[in-house]
Amino acid sequence: MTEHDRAEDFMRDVDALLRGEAPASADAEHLAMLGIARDLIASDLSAEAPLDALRPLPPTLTLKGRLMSPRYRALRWFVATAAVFTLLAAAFLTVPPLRALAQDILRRIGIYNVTDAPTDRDLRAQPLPVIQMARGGSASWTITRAQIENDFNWLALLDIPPGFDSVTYVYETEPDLLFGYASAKYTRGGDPATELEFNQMQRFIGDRELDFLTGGAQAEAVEVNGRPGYWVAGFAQAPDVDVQMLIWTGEVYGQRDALLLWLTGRGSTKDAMLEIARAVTVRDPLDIRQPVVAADALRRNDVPPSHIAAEVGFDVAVPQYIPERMRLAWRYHTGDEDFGESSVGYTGWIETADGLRAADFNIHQTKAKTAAQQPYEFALGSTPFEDVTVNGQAGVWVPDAALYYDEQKNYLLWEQEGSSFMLSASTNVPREEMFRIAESLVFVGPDATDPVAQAAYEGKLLPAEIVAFQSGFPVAVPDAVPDGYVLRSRDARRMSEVAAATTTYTAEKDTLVLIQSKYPAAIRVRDLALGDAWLEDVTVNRREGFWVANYQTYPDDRIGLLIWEQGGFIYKLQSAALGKDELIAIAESLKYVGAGD
Amino acid sequence: MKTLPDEPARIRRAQANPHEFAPLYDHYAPRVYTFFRYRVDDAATAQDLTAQTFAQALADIARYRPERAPFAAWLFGIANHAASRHYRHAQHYPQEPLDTLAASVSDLPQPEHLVIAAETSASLTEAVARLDPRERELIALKFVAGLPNTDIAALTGQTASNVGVILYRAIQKLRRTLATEDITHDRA
Repeated sequence: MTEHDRAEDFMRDVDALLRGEAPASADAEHLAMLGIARDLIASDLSAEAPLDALRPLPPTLTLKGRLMSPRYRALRWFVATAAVFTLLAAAFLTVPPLRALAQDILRRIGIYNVTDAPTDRDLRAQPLPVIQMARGGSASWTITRAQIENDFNWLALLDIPPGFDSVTYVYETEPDLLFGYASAKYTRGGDPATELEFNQMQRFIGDRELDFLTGGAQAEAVEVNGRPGYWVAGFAQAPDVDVQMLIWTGEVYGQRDALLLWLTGRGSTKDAMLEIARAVTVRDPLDIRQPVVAADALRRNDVPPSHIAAEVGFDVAVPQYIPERMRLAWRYHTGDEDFGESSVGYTGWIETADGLRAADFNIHQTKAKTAAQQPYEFALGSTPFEDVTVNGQAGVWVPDAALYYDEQKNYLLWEQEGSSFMLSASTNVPREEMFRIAESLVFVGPDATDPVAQAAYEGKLLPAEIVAFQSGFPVAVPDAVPDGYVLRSRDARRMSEVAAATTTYTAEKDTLVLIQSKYPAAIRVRDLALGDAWLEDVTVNRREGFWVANYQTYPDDRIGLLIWEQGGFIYKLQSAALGKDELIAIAESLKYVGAGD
Repeated sequence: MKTLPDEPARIRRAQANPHEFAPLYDHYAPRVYTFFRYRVDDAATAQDLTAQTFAQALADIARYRPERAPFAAWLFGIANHAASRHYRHAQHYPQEPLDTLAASVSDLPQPEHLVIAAETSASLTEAVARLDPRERELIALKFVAGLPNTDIAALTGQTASNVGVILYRAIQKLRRTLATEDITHDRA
């Protein structure tokens, strides 16, 4: 019997044991081996192991209590992730604030230029007329009253562009937009269809300016005078209007790209605008004050001191003696809750031992707004001074000091008529001349025939009737505003072809502003540039309107903005705290007061 | 080896609800642990492999098909793979079993050894531990898992007759080892 046969017999008996049957073999050796097999079969070594602790935890169940296979788990994870992304994408596409945020991000990182403007191909297919270039023409200058409300000491000068024959230079403020700018308009033969406008504005709201000014239009990056710029061939907001824009930056006060310049024109081309842009030279602020080009125009268009008196609320000192060869350069006024300030500057030349030299002097008049307020004191620190008498009042003479300017100046300080005065002059202006200027001051109040000026001077709220008279149209007045809002100001302005009446209410943490604007008849609500803001169609007084839930102002503020058109006016009602329904309720309560009512 | 009463129905319930896996674990865990105890030299490793085997079985039970193999064959198939992986890993990253370390620290008998030594199976376990790995694998699959030689052949990649010869020789070796230690097994 071979080992193989013995093994087969043994395994047969082992299988019998495993089935619980008796083995067939009777061989002693075989039986001894079966005994070992029986022990092995019966052995249970688990007593030494903590089997309860080794028990596996049940895996995750599906909602129906079924086990999840790895493939099912992966599929479920994929489906859930896809669903989340789909929901997020739907939210970003449909919810206005999220949509605006997504557009901002995509545009900023340059992945996708969100715009409804025509494509480059569309623009190339549109024939553009070419400006006929020719030299010549004359310039006229105007300075609006708004100039004195701005601290724009810079000015970029543009020679009359070839082919244009008239120019109007304007300093303006835009109360709606919270900034001021300077602009020049040129035409050919007085034809408004050939109008070219040159604008400049100090950059103070960051890189969004370019986006803002191009209104989200498709813009081509170009280099203008070595600086970054954009060329816009057309605007989606006004597809029927043939308007082009070239926008670039310049240097002012030594700050690179701090000045924003843009040209807008009709029927122009990129090359033509680039050629005009190359003629622009930005001059140092001091150049503006020198009587080189603009001083005559500035003096001719001087803002009357009576206007300043109305604004600051006190009589404004005006020098009657001006040294020969010096002329008015600028007027300026400002103020806060406690003090009002009026300043005036003169520049020119003065005769010295070395011949004619450039010179200037400035008069700053500061007055407390309430009787309880102590007079303003100009700080002298440790600067040496000499006690003097000016106009019969005690004063000080401070020669050759850098008190309030970076450069050395002579100062004369005194109090008179409840105002604190500081007369400063370049050090080449003799002391006697400064005393003579100070002693020549006369005080000018508001125009006694102008009820608006009188009301402003006295710090009174302008009646709606006066605002209506001033603006030339009936002024809308809300019949009801929410509790806590107090009427703070009424104002009327005319700028170019636009007239606007602004009414402001303030609450503890909000300013509610109603702007009633009279635009040229061709301008409709949809033409207003609102950038890439998401507009929701609403009905206000049964007229078409828009609600912008999250309109971005400057730099990071967001407000709710309701815009609608009614009776030939375009209305803007804005608030940071009130919602759409509340603003619509205010809009529907408007009554009209004043002219034409 | 005895099967669990109403095993097919219990398996179906466990496939539908993992909380129903407990009876299967309770029935098979001692056998699976014993299976590993014969395959490896220390209790801790046997416990780890037992836990791994049942975790894998629980995760895969939905894919078990009774028409292909008995549940015990499927379960011990998983256990055999776990043991094979352990051996492959041990070849690359040899580790000293904790039991061996403990024994080397002191020559005195360890408490658990004193208890187990009272049992015949202790000597049997020690004798099995002296067999080579292939013989230990077949001993465990045959006598603990209770698999027929054809199933063992399929799991180990050998012929059924070879499995029988190797098992026959392994039992002979065990008998000689146990005889040397003066323990007789003539109760058959």
